[in-house]
This record gives sequence, C-alpha cells and structure tokens, in this order.
Amino acid sequence: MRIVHLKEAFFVSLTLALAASGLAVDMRSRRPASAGVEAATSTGPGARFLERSVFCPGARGRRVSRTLSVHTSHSQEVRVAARPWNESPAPVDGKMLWLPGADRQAVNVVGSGARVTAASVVGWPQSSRAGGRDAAAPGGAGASGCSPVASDRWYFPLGASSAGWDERIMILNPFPDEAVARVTFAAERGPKAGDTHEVAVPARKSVQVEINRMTLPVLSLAATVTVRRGRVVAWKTVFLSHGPKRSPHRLANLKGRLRADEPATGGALFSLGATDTSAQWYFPDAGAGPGRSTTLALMNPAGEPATATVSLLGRRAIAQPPGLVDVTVPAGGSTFIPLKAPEARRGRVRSFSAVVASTGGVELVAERSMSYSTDELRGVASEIGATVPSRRWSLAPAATRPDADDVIVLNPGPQDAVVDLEVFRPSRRGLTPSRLQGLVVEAGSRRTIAVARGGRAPSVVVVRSSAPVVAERRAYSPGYRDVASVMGEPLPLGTD
Amino acid sequence: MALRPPGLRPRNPAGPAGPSAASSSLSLPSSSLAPRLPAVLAVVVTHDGRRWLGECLRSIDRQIYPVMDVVVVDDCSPAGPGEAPLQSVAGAALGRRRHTVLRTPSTFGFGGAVNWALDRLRPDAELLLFIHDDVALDPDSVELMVRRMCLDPGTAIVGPKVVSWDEPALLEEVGWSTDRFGHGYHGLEEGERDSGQRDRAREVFHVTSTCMLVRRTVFYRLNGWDTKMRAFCEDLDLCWRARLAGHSVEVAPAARVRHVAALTHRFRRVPWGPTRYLLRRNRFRAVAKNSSAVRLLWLVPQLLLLALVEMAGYLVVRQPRAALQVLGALGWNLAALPSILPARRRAQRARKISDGSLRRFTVPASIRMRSFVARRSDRFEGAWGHRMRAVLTGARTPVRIGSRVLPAVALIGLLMALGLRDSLLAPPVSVGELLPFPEGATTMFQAFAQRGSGLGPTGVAPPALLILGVFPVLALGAAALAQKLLVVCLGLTAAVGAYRLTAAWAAEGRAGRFGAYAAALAYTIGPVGYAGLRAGRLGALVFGAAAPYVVGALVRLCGVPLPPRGAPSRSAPVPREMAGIALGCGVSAAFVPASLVLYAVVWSIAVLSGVLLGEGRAAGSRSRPVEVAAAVGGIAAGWGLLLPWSAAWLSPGEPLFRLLEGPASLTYRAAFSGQGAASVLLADLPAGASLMGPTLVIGGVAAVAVTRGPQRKLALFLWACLGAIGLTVALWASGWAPPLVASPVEGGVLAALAWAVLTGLAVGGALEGLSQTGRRAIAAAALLTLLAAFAAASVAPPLVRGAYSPGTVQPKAVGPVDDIAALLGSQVKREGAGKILWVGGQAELGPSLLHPPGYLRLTGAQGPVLSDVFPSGGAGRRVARLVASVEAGGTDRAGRDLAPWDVRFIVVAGSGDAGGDRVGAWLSQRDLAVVRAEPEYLLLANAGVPPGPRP
Repeated sequence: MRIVHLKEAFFVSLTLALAASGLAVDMRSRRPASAGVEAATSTGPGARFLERSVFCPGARGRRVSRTLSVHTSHSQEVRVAARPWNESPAPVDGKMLWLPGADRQAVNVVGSGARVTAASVVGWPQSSRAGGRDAAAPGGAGASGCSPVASDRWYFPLGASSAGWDERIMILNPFPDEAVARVTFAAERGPKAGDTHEVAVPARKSVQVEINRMTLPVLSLAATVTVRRGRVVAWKTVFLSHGPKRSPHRLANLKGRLRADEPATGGALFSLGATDTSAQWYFPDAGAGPGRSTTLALMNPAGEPATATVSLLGRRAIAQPPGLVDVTVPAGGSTFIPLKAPEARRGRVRSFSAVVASTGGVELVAERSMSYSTDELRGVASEIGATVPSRRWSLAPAATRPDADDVIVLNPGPQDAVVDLEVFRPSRRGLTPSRLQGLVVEAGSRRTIAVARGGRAPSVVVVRSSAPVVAERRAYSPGYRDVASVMGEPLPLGTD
Repeated sequence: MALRPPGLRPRNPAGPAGPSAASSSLSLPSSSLAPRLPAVLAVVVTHDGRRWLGECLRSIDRQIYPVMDVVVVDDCSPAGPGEAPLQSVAGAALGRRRHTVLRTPSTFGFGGAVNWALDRLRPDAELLLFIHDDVALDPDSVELMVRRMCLDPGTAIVGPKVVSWDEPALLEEVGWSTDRFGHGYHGLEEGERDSGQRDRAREVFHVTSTCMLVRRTVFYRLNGWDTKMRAFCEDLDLCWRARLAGHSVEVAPAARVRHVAALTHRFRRVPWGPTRYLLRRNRFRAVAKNSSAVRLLWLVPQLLLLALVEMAGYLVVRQPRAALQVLGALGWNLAALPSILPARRRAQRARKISDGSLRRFTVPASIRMRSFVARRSDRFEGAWGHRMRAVLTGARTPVRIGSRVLPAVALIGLLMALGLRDSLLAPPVSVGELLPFPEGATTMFQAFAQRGSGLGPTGVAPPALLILGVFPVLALGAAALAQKLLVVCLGLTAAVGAYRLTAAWAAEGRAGRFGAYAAALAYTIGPVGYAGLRAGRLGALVFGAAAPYVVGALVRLCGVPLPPRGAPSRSAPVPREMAGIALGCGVSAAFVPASLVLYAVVWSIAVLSGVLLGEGRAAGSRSRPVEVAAAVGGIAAGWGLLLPWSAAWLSPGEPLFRLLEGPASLTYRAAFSGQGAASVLLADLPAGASLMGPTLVIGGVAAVAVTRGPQRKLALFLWACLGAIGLTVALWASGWAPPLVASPVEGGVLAALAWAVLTGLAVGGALEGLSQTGRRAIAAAALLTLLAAFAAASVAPPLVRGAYSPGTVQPKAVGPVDDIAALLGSQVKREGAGKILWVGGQAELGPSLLHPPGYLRLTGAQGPVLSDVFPSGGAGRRVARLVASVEAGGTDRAGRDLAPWDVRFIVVAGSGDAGGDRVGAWLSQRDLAVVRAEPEYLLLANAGVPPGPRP
C-alpha cells in the first residue's frame, strides 16, 4: 500500500513537473505576435525569369526603314524572338542582336532567360511624297527605346498642332482585350477642356493618332494618353518641315519672333512617352548657341500648379539662370522653356546638361528637344528625361550608320565618377577600347564621349560608372540628315 | 443426380379409374372429376421434420382425390431420440393410401432427394405432386390442382395457395413473379389476410416446391430438379425451364395448403450453408442457365454490380460475413461453370419462347425493391439497432434498445441544430477548410483517382479525399446535404466517443451515466466544436471525432487502471484494439498528420500511468509489454494505412514540410503566438466561448477531489496528459520546436477531450456524492450547481445566437467568390469549365494545413470546393513557381504558361499593401484579358488557353 501511495505521489509530481515545465517555457520565451505574418504575402518559392517582352513601335510611311537593336547584359545564353516577325527564339549572340529591315508593324521583342533591352531606329526618307497621309512626312531619323511595360497613361510634354509640325501618337495595345484610349491636351494656360478624343485600340494592334486632326493649331501643346480600359504603350513621332527661316517650327520663340541664332531645320522627333511624373528629370544633352537650340517642355498633370527649377550643368559650371528658377507650370497645363547658354567664367557654355527639379512638391513630366544646324550635326531630336541616376546604363544605337555617335554622361552627384564604356556590335562580343575606359566625369558636370565616327556599324554601349550618372546617346544619320537621340536605360547592378 | 427415364410398367394394376390395390378398405370420398382420373404420385420429402410430418401425411391421406400414391423420402434426417421409425409414422398416417418410404443414403436436398427417389421408383403416374414435410393440405387441394392441370394441356405445373400453418387466415404466397435478377416477388402485403382477394386462378412465373403438381412427362423432359442447388430457388429454376419449353405455370388458389416454412424461419438447419449464401448462389445459377445469351450479356454486369453494392452495404453495417457470403455465391458459380454450361445448353435447346414473352410475369426491379425494402426494413433496423448497441457498449452481449447513449445523442443533436441553425438550412458554407462538396456523388473519389495535370505526377493523393468522398455518396450526390451530413456525423461521432470513453471510466449506475452525458456535451459543444466549426477547421473536427476512440484503446492497452466492470469489452483482443487504434489514427492523420505525435504523447503518459498507477496484473492476463507495443504499433499502423501519402509528408509541398520548412511555416508558427502551457492548463486551447474555460477547469479540479479509486487515477492520468500537451504546445509557441499542427484548434483537441472527460468524472463523482450525507453531499451539490451555472452561462448564449455556425468568427474572407461564380457561370456555360486560379486575398481565419495560407489556389469553375482544399503536390509547386515569376516580373505570358492546367480565369486580390504591386504584375501579362476590375479583386481571362469543348 505504501508503495502504491509512493507511486501515486510520484505520478502526481510528474504531472506537476510537466505543467511547471510548460509554464516555465511560456515565461522564458515570448514571440511577437506579428512574426511570420509577412509569410502570408509571400509570392512563394522559386521565382525565376522565364521571358518578358519589350514593346517596340512600328513605323508608318513609304520606304520607311525600321531596325531593332536588342541587347542583354546577361552572360548566359539568352534567346530572343521578335513577334510577330519571328516566333522562333534566336540566341543573342555577342549580347546584341541587330534586326534591320524588319517589318514595320509593332513588335514584341521577347527575351527568354533574361531581360533584354531594345530600341527602334527609324528612318523616314525625305522624298516620300507618294500620296496618302504619310506622304506629308518630310523625312528624318529618330530612335526610341522600346517599352518594357504597358501603362494606363502616357505623357508627352512636347508637342504642337501648328502647321509644319506634324505630330502623331502611336498607341499600341499588346493585350488580348480591346483598349479604349483617351487623348487629352494641355496648353500653357491649362488643360484644353472639350478637346478629348477617344480611340479604340483593337487587341494586339496599334493605331496612329494625328494630333493636327484632333485639335486647333496651338504652338505648344502637351498630350496625355490615358486609357479607360486596358493598358497601352505610346510613342510620339513629330515631323518638322525643313524650309526657310519662317518655318512654323519656332520651338525657341514662343512669342513669335525668330531669333537670329535659331536654326530653321526640320527632321523627325521620335520618343517614347513617360508613364509617370517625377520630381527630378535629367537631360545629359543640351546646348544653346550658334547652330543649336534646346527647349524644355514641362507638363503638370496634377490638379494644382507646380513650380520647377532648371539647373544647367556644364563642364565645371553649374548655372541656375533667374528665368529658370521656380518656373510655374499651371495645373493640368504645360510650359515651354527655351534654354540659353549659361554664362561661365570662360564665356558662354554652349553644351550643357539640364536638370529639372520640382520645387513645389508637385511632380512634373519633362521633355527636351534639341535642334542642330552645325557642320557636324543637323536635325532635331527629343527625349523624355531620365528620372534616376544609375551606375549602369545601356544605350541603344540612335542611328544605323551614324557619322557622329556620342554618349553624353551627366554626373549630377557630389563625387566624381569614373566611367567605362563597353561597346557591343552585332554578332560580336563586347569591346572595351582603352580610350573609352577610365573616363572621369566630374561631380556636377557632364562629358561627351565620342563612340564612333564615320559610319561605323551600329552598336549598343554599356556605361559602367563608379558613381550614379545619367547617360544619353546622340547620333547623326547623314542619309536622313537628321540627328537622333535616345536616353539610356538603367541596368540593375550585378546582372553579368 | 439426373433423373433417368422411367420404366413403362404401370404400377397401379387397378387402373386409373379405380382405387389403388393397396388402399385400405375405407371408402374414399368421391371426386367430381371426369371418369378418367390421372394418377398422382405424391412425393413428400422430409428432413428433420417430424414435428409436422405426421400432420402432413394425414392431410395427404384425407385428400378426396382417389388416385394418388405416396412416397415419403427421408433425406437422411438425423435420428431424434425416441423417435418412431418413419415407416410406422407413415403407416399410421397414410392408412388409405398406397405408400412407400425411402431414405436417401446422404442428404441430397429436396430436389436431389426427389430425383433419387423417382429414379428408383420409376413411376408412371401422369402427375407428380411434390410436397414439403411441413405442409398440410386441405382435403380438396389435390383435386383442385389436378382439375386446373387438366383444363389446359399446356399447363405443366400447378401450385396452390399457401397460408400460414398457425394462422391459416394469413397468406404466404399465391404464386410468384420475379425480376430479371431472379428475385422472387409474391406481391402480397406484409400480414395480408385471406379474404378471397387472391383466389383468381391465373398464370404465374413460378410456384414454390412447397406444394407443386407437375406433369411427369414434362418433369422428365426437363431432367427433373437441378440437384446442384440443394436448397432454395430450385422451384424457380424448374418453373423457368418449363416456361422456356413452352409450358405454363399456374396457381390454383382454390387449393389451399398450410405451411410452416421451417427452413425460412430457421426451425431447422440448412446443412449446406447460410440461407443468404444459398439464395444468391442458386439465383445466379438460375439466371445463368435460363436467360438468353443476349440478355445475359447485360444482366451479368448488373448482377455483379448489385453484388458489389450489397457487399458494400453489409460492410457498412459491419456484417462482413454477409458480404463474404455474397462473394462466396459469386465464386461458387464461377467454379460451377462446368456444370452450368451443359445445363444451360439443355435449357436453351429446349427453349420455345423468347425472354420477352415472359415479361408479363416479371416485375420491374423498382417494384420488387420497394417490397424488398419494406420487408427488410424491420430486419435492417433490427440489425442496425443490434449493431448500435454493440457499438455503444463495446459489448458482444446484446443490450436492449433504448440504450443509454441515445438521450445524450438526441440532446446533442438538438443543441447542434440550435447552434448551427443558420447554416443547416442555408446553402453550403465556404469557411476555412469547410468548403462545399463538389457536385456529384463520386467527384471526391475522382479527385483522388485523377490527380494528374497533364504535366506528370502531382504527388500522392491524400486519403482524406476517400474518407470525405463517402458523404456525397450517402447524400446521393447532393453536395449541400453532404456537407451538413459531414458536420452532423462528426459531431455525433465525437459525442458518442466521448460518452463511451467516459462511461467506461466513470462510476457505475446513473451517476456515471450522467457523467458520461456531461462529458459528451462538454466535448461536442465545447472548445473544439465551438472553435472548429466557427473557423471551419475540418481537420480539427475529424481529429476530434476520432480521438475518443483512439485514446480509449490506448488506455485499455497500456494498463491505465480502469474501474472494474463485468463487461467483456475490457478484455477485447489485442489485435482488435490495435486495429481500432490504427483506423482511428489513420483517419485523424489523414487530416492532421501530427495527430500521431499527439497520440504518441498520450500513449507515453498512458504507459507511465499503467506502470505507476496500475494495479498488479491478474494471473493469466496479457503481458503488458505486448499491449504497450501493440498500442504504439497501432499508431504506426495508422501511419501505414496512409501510405504512400504518409511517406511523403516531409517532401516539399507536403503537409509536414509546409509546417517545418516551407515559406508558410512562419505563418503557422505565428498562429501559436499567445498560446502556451497556460492556455492548455486553463482550458483556453482552443478558445471556446466565454466561461467555457473556467467551467472545464472547475470540472477538472473537481474531478480529482470528488473521485475515488480508479476514477481518481484516471483523473490524474488525464491531468498528466494535459501537462504533457501543455508542455508540447509551449515548445511550439516559444519557437523551441516547430509546431507540428497548423493551428491551436488542432493542437488542443486532445486537451479538450481530457477536459471533457474530467468534467464528466467530476459530474459523476458529484452525483455519487449526493447520495452521501453531510458535508460531502453539500459539496457535491454545490459543485454540480456551479458547473451547471457556468456551463449554461458559457454555452447557452452562443447556442441561442447560433454562433456555432461556420463563419461567425468573421465573415468569410476568401474573396468575392459568389460574385465571381455568378459572373463566370454564363461564361463557363459558353466556353467550358476550366479552372480558376485565385491569387492572394486568402484572408485565412488562421492558418490551416489542409487549406494552407495560400497565397494561391486552383479551383474548379464553381469556386473553391472541398476537393480543392488538398494541395496538388508537384503541379501545385509548379504553379506557385510560375506565379512567383509573374509577380517578380519574370514573365509576361502567364496565360500561356497556365494553359496546361486549363486555367481559364485568374482572380487577383487587389486589397492589402501588396495588392497594388500584385495587380500591376498581373496586368502586365500579355495574354490575359481584363474581365472585371474591382477594388477588391481583378478578374482576368486567359487568352492563352484555346477554347474548350462546349459543355
């Protein structure tokens, strides 16, 4: 009996020990209640890159040439298909694929295995006057990046609907459902009420909208493409008439007077729209002076006025001319700002970069156009600015056989940047010429780097920098007598 | 024993007109028949029928029909003590008839005995009258049957009206119809009284050999009885063959016989096997012989299917022997094919009519089935009641119906109906793991069988699909009913289990019984039922239903001291207990794999209890190590029952992997935050309604105080279980060990069971104490009052509010399923079903193993159903990787990549912090078209899937 009681007592002790142990464990460790909740939003295991497209614009017009350049910065084999031309993926040998003479419809460049960047280089022959709508195209060359995203809105700050200015917006719907896009305009005084046009864009098709047919002639007109349904990609093409100085192309003179140093030149502007506003916009390439002019177009899609300050960064000179400080952009409106060469200790700085910064807390969209009429360069070019500096940039070719092919690097940061350029030509591995290595771009300064001269084969240039910079490329096509520019595409670090 | 052709020498020298030479001097009543009377030879077969044989023979002797000889064939009856020889019995009864007595050398059965006797006698009587030994004929029966026979030369067989031996007013048969499977149908009501309503003579399909008049020539042409049949259905076979040969079978209701039906009523044994076996065996044989070849082609599959259904039904009611008998009947026929085929050839060669000609004598299976069910229902109820009694008490000895558990089950059922009333009459709920069943009776089985996605194996199908698939079958495909049936069955199973467990442990008598009621109530509508139903924790509910049975078996095997009982269930065989543990563990682990671990914890405590608290083993009792090993072996066998699924638990994507290593493991761990040993020891795991915890704690503490002897030891054992489970939960909650169950509800099942049984023991002990005097009675009364008050306060409000209904924790938050299902309904009709991929928005009511915190889910077109709860293994992982790629920007052709899974639509949750990025990633897919964009969700149609066939 005593043993029985002892056993029972031992069992009770064991029970109490178990309970006490549990309570002790409770007391010693307390886990935060929120731990692990994030797992519920996890995207799951093993995300990997399969394939993604970039959307490249088509090119309309008789005898228009359109070439695509495709590049990847990944070292493993990547295959690219350009649909609907070519459904079968081809390896991106030498990390650059050059697709000349391709069809002129919009194309999905699909990269399998890694992301690719692509750009479209288009040339419109000047003498194409065979009738029809496109016969009015005066000719020129342009380059534009292909878009990796479709969006529900696109901004085009720079535009007009005046004579001599033939602006067209191409809207591509790469999705299987129909999109309905709405084009609205904004002038200097604000949005143009009542001037709204809806365009149905069929599935996997593109439409071209001619701005001159949509609204009354206005010298400065920003356009916005929004979608009521679906998602689209939008590019803008502008044909400027070549001709006498009385050409309506008076980007630099909103008051109607022609300046003596204004180049009266035509050409084609070709650019991809902006999908979002930003507080900062960087334009590495700008200039003013004999034979060149630069105009900034600022657009404020917000419902309240915006103010912006434009800084001009030259080589060893930074200027904020009073006229460029706290420039007001009305709500829903746009404004054009001609840039003058800033004064520096050693005289006027003809080549500079422009940085647009919103100062009122309201974000803007900025586009820059340049007009050239020098011995080396002729024509017009425009680009939406870059919003964020980066340490790596991919720069697509801006021309097929450029006479002058330059990369302009802007270093807006506080420390000097050392840049190296790697050049990728079709079917060849990347080249790192010594002259393009170790180039210093001083803080707050810019540098123009000549990549090629004399009609070399097109190439993709990858810029690597020790500090965040902004890079742009400019090239002159003698065949089209037009200059074209294309903003670089930032690359994530460590992709090789 | 085939019948040889008879000899031609007449045996009746007096000729047909006069009385037989051997007849007595008594004058026979005159017959009203024509001058030439056909001779009748009455063949009475007896086997162990002395009780009725005398009366039978006397009734034959009293027949007014003059020209009749009698043969009494003794089919090797066993000699009873003090029985007079058969010859003297026959001689005494058949004073006026020429008769002879024959004895077969062995038991041939009715038909075999007749064939043997006729083969020896070689009669030349025109008519043969076959009679059972438990039949008594009315004096004019033979004459009336002969008259009927003589009316039509085509008539070969005539039978009388058969009434009950003891109550001649009760009809037993007036001829038989049959269905295509050979089942007889007499068309009488149960207990139908004879008022002359069935007295019209008519043609029937067959008459029984109870009393049957057959033309001798036809009988010989048909080669007599089929002796292989031994007993049952030989008459069906003979009549069928006669019909096929172009003869008719008639019933002459004016002729009446009384019948004991000794074989049917089991007044005597059938020496060749069980009745059920013989009936089915012979029926199959008769159908096989007599049906045409064309008819047989489609009859045989139906027969096999019916046999399978019958076997399954017997297994359900736990009569495996009956199922084996059916199987044996099939097997016998297969083995007897060498004899069936020649017999069939003979029958078909003699065929003069088609099967279609017999249709007017057959009944549709539905009519026969109704009659069958009506007749069998009382027997079924009896069998079921018998089984229920055996289940409830665990006893082999029968217990009276009106068993003690029924009031508790009824009360719990009523309370469940009250608490679940909002959902019982509503459409199926879709909460947590408690999703609607897919439409169709066998869809769950199909989901188990067809787990492929066209891209190779998708992992082993969870056996839980098979278990759940029973409910739609029981509900005959009604999905809504199946879900409600599931919930109700789980609840009642848990209640019965808890009652049974506590009743075995509690004091004897009314006190213990009421304690068991209290335990059943506390368990079913306590924390597990409350939290499990409200959150749709299917796994916890199934685990909770099985737990009492497993724990009871573990306790019995591990030697935990039990109150002495005389019931034989205390010493149930070890294999049976082990099988019970295995089955219970298998069912639990199919839904909650780690329930095996928790059972193992209870097992270890039970072993310790057996060692420390158990009394000495009685001489001759089982060896404890064997029982202990058997207990853990049962748990292991439960794991084995789930193979090969259980072998893959730790593979990526499978249940335990998700708990231990998967990306959702953090979510599972987070579910245990705030829990621990204190939650278990305060009966707050799982959390029940307010005051439930204190009620159970009061009961648990009181159980130790008010019980004595073995009940107290059991209470200590249960407290030790609570301590061990508390320590386990503390380790999980603290992060020292990863949780092996998905949620606190599952982790608290065994704790809830322990609390419930403790409460039951406390109630039982208190009730016993009421019978005492003095302070003990007062304390007992106070305890009972306190428990009742707390219980009422804790349970009544949620019951009255209907707060037990699933989804009352929070509104179902799996997305606007109804809207999307309605929107897609018309599209599904146009384009085919396909699947829907649900991404994000799985606002779970806590994480669940069956329904993981599932960022994505693939369902049918009608939305999430129960078969979607179980992740699809490899294919699911591939889909998850693809979705991850989409949302990381790694592809913009998700539609094409989802096409192999026939994903037609994608629903992307748009709410939450991550919603915007998620929606943007899906909107960038080039082959997905936007169907609808709402703030809460984005519905995309997959243009990458070619349109399917229209439904």
